[in-house]
Amino acid sequence: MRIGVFICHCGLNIGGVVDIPEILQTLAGYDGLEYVTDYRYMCSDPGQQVIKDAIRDKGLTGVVIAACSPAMHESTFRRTAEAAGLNPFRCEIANIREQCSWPHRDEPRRATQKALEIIRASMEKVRQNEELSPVSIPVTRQALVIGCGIAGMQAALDIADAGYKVTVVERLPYIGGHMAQLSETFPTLDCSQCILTPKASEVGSHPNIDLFTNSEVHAISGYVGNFNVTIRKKASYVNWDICNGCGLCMEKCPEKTESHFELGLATTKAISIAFPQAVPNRPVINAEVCRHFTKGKCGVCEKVCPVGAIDFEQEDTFIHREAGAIIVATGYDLHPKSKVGEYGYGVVKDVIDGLEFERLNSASGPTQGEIRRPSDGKIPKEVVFIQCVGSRDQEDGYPYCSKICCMYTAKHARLYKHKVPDGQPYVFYMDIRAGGKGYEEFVQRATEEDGVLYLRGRVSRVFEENGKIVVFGVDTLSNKKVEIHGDMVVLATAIIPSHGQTDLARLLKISTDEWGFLSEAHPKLRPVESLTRGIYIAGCAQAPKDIPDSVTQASSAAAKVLALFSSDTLSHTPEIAVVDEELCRGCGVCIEVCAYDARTLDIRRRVAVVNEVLCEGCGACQVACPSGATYQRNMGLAQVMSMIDAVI
Amino acid sequence: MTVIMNNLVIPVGEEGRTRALNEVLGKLLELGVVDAMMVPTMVTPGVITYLLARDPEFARSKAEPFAPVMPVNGASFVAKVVSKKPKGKVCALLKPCEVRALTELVKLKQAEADNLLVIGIDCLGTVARGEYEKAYPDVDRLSVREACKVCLNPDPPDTAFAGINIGYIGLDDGRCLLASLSPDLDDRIRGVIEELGFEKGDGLADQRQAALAVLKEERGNSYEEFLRKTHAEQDDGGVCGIAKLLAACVGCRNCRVACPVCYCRECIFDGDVFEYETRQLLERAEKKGGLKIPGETLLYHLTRMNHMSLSCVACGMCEEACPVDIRLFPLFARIARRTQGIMEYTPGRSPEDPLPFTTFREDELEPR
Repeated sequence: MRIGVFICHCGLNIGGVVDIPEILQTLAGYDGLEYVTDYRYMCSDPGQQVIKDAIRDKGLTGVVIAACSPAMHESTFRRTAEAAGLNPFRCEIANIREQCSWPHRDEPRRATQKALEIIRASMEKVRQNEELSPVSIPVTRQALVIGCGIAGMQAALDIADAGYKVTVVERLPYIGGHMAQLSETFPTLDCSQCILTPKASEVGSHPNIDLFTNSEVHAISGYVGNFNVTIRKKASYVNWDICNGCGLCMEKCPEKTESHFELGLATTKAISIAFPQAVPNRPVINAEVCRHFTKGKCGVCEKVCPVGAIDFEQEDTFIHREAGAIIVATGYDLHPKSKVGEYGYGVVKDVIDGLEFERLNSASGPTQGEIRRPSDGKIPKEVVFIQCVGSRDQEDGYPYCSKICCMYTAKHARLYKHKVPDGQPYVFYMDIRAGGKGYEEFVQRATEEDGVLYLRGRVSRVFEENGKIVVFGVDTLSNKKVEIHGDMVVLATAIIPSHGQTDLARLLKISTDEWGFLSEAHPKLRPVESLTRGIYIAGCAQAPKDIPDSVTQASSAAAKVLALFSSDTLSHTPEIAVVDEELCRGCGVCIEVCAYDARTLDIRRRVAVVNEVLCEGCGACQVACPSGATYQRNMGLAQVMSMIDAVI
Repeated sequence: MTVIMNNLVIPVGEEGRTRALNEVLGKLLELGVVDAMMVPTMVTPGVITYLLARDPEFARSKAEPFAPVMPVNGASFVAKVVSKKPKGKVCALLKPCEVRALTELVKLKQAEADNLLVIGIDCLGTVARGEYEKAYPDVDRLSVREACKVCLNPDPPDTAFAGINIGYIGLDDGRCLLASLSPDLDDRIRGVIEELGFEKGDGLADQRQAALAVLKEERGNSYEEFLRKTHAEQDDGGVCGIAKLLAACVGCRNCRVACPVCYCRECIFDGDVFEYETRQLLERAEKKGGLKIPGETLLYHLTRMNHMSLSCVACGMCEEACPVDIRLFPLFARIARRTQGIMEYTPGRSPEDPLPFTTFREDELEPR
């Protein structure tokens, strides 16, 4: 092996601490070292040229770049080596910045010694490095999108428009998610349904989109490029292939029940389509209330259906699909009523949450868009909006900010004022967070044009007295107690992950944070990727977001999927574990410790087997195997021993 | 974890307990409920090894179930015999520490418990193989090995296998043996044994348990005393102390060959990982001024401790096998007690207890 060592000064980052001339001197004459040099910025074009020239001129068969963390420039320098004709896996990084010059700034002598040891250890490693080539994995160029709110819709459309098939799975019978329930949207006050419906109908009719509503992901297996999905299509008791959506069944159905879509503010029938513009426009029978199922008689819908689409015998069906990539866009729920008792929520009928206010304000809602309070249908003359209910609450709620409440509360207060000009909206807030294009201006107009009264402070109690709702609060700016006798209270309750999201995450083997939101691979640089390759996240499944952010993230996730689909194979690092079957005793300890399910036991031959694609090369198996039968390519035990030897 | 055993009394006649038990073993083979039987046997006077008998007469005449010597922890041999699930039923007659080692090997997938009948047998200790051979037949004056003197488990665990345990501790004058049948014992085997017409022995079982309780308490005290004493002798400042203790090691690996739970096909220390180039050895020697050879003594023993101390059943065979008389038993006993304590793991108790390496508890390495 003819090894070249290239030492980067990184300006003063390394050069200002580590005595590079001394290292150059000490290394010269080290067994197997063919060439050593330094450069101010090795990652710069001329720096890379130094490496390329040396590889060619000195006939180097291995290089060590002593520079920053491999997380920064390992791929840069491996490309450089490859460009000069060297196998990229014969290029190793000796991290003398993050692991040496930065933490040991105050001890330059010892830092120099440590840098030398790190470099020598890397030389020992590269001395035994094999030439490797990437593992190739076939890619199924079809995507799966789980959840079809605005984020899921956007992602599905972007991928479908690019020419790839998309399977969309939505738990509810209709698509659109919470956005379908909204009245107007900030900061432009355009009608939510009006901007959503065209997209929904496009999703419903797109030739590349295979839409499964009233369905859930039942099982999933495989890995990037090759997922196998089982979808459970829940029984709707209506044959949607025959049904033409005429709605006669709903009209004639004798059984009323609370409307889920209207959040209980209105009733619907036991057989129903959630709202007139629903996609798909097909009804579902709620078996829990339907008289056929509860009492064993009725069948009115069956009698009146002109096409014979009612099918009481229908059962859940399971559908199998392949997917190369998955986007999870499972949305959000609101902090449940039961948890905010001090605000009278769930007890006082006219204390409602933001989504309920959206329905009251919606032209297609239970009051046809007139602001009438739920208890007696009267128009409320004083409405108190309370922000941060459950959010930013370390004690009883969640420490995070739900992000959208400042804006929608301003929107609610303004829309209320537009509809009830003689009414007075009050807003209790902690801070106004209006970062976003046109957002701050929107909030300003709420106070300046619409006379919304903002009170900075928290509310301690809400209760009913003499037909009024009494709100006790503090205005911390004037330091005065405030008592408002209002007609209705709207709580901006916290956004929490959609119910069942943790179970889904477990199914997909992706991680969640402590609140159940999906974890991204990197909070800044990889915000739409999960830690599992081939699974991406979008919308409120990751964290509270407004519509523009959800759409942006959905399109980004779609872009990631399209990049994955740009080739019918993808390459996987060859720096993974292999099993020496001569040495393996098949004890299975490595299988238990593998975090990626990349190992199985071949029962017949009694040896552990590695799935190359799933193996991430973490090395846990190599540590666990007592026999030394697992070999981590280019990080084998013999290499590690030699590396240790070089430093002690 | 307790198991309600079905206790039967095997009467011991004039010809002694070996004859009485061998008669039962022979019946099991004769009636075809087991197809092969691994038993200790005496090949030449004073030399005990194992026999895989298929002929019932072999079992009857050659088995030496009570010979107070253990040349090898038999679990390793059982693992060789049933490395794959056998077609017929294989029976193994084992001492308590052999049963416990076998349980570990089953968990490590080195032995198939299906189609295996384990007959565990009480053990009051074994003497060193060499001493036994020299003194034979005058063996009664020999004292048992150090590991046996402090053995906390003179009875085979009821929970390890759905088998049969043969007890004699605490039973009067050796006039009978107690056969305790696991409730999950194979019905055909149970049937054959019950057919033999032995009386129920629940009273004797209680008697044996009482005697065991006393014995275990005594043993517990001597074990603590032993650990204290050897700690004082051996613990000489951490790693340096261990290095000193192992100074005479010639690197023969006999300890790992003798260890029943060291199951590697080839020890990693015999592979190419520790085959250094001349250059590396010279560099090392240069750095330190000089290099001890063999060089990996400490690392080898520490690695072995790391690999097997959680499963160590304290049989002491490592020390028996050492050609240079290193006091390995107290060293491993002390380490194993600590590691097993930290992981709250009792090796050999039951195949249901998960191996600590394969499970994770958030608090498992918290200081305590």
